[in-house]
Amino acid sequence: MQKEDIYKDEFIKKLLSDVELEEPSTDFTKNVMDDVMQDWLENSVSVKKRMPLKRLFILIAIVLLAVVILLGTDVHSIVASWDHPFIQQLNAILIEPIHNLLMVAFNRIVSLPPIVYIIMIAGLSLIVFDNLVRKMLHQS
Amino acid sequence: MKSNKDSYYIQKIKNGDVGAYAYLVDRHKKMAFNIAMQIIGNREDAEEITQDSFLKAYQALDSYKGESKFSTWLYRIIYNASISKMRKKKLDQVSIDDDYTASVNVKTTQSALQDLTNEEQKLYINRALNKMNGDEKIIISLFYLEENSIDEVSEVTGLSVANVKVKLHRSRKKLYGILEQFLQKELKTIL
Repeated sequence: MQKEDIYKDEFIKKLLSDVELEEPSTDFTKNVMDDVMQDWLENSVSVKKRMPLKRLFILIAIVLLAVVILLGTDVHSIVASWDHPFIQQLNAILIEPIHNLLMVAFNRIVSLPPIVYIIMIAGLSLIVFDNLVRKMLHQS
Repeated sequence: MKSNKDSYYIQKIKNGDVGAYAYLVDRHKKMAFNIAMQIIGNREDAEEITQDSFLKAYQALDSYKGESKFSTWLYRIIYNASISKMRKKKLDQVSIDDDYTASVNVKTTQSALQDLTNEEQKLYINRALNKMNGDEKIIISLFYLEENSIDEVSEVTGLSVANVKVKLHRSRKKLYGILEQFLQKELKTIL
């Protein structure tokens, strides 16, 4: 920097230290915060917090695994063969009723007419399609 | 220190404390409003743009990763909003690139200004600043008043670092030239 520029730089720094910036109106912060709060309220009403996808998959996997184990293996008879009063009681109160319930549900699902499956698949497809369209519209 | 405090409040907002944004608004509103004022030139529009920009900044806060200072990021939003408002209004910017730099005698101008009272100095400086165009005023304000670095000024204005350096040099020279002209006029009227 040339000597003259250094003079100017220093002098302008000194001069501008006295310059007062203009203030916005007194209720400026209040106005901004009103807008911000309104935005926050609108978003908190319209956007429901969703369960993270990863956690949802883990939960579904655990439930499916439990169902497969309870249906695929004869858990209640294995547990019943254990000669322990607590295990026997647990089997009688919890495992066997669940097993029976799942078996009934499974048999009913299997015996459903094909039209029910077609309607279910079509409904699910529509929900997925609707979500995709909403996402695309939101991004654009 | 200032930006550390900003990041503390930004974290609070991201954690759901929306009210903490009032602190950031209070801290940066003055400079933000002046940036808009320097481009737009009238209080009502400048205030509206600054207000909208603060809302935009809040809505985009998740995209702020803290790579630059919050103020730099915010001023950039305000700068862009003001420029696009100007374009929309199609205001013809009066070119003030008059040759104010013709004969600048640094020491004479300095001593003449120093002889003035504080109030007179402020008056002349404000008048001189008003003679400069938006970009020049913003660069001078950001660099000297807000004490931003050349890199930060470049980030706000979108100009290259080299361009900011050149503009800063020219703006400084121009401000001097304008001040000198004012002082000469004053001397003539006195004599």
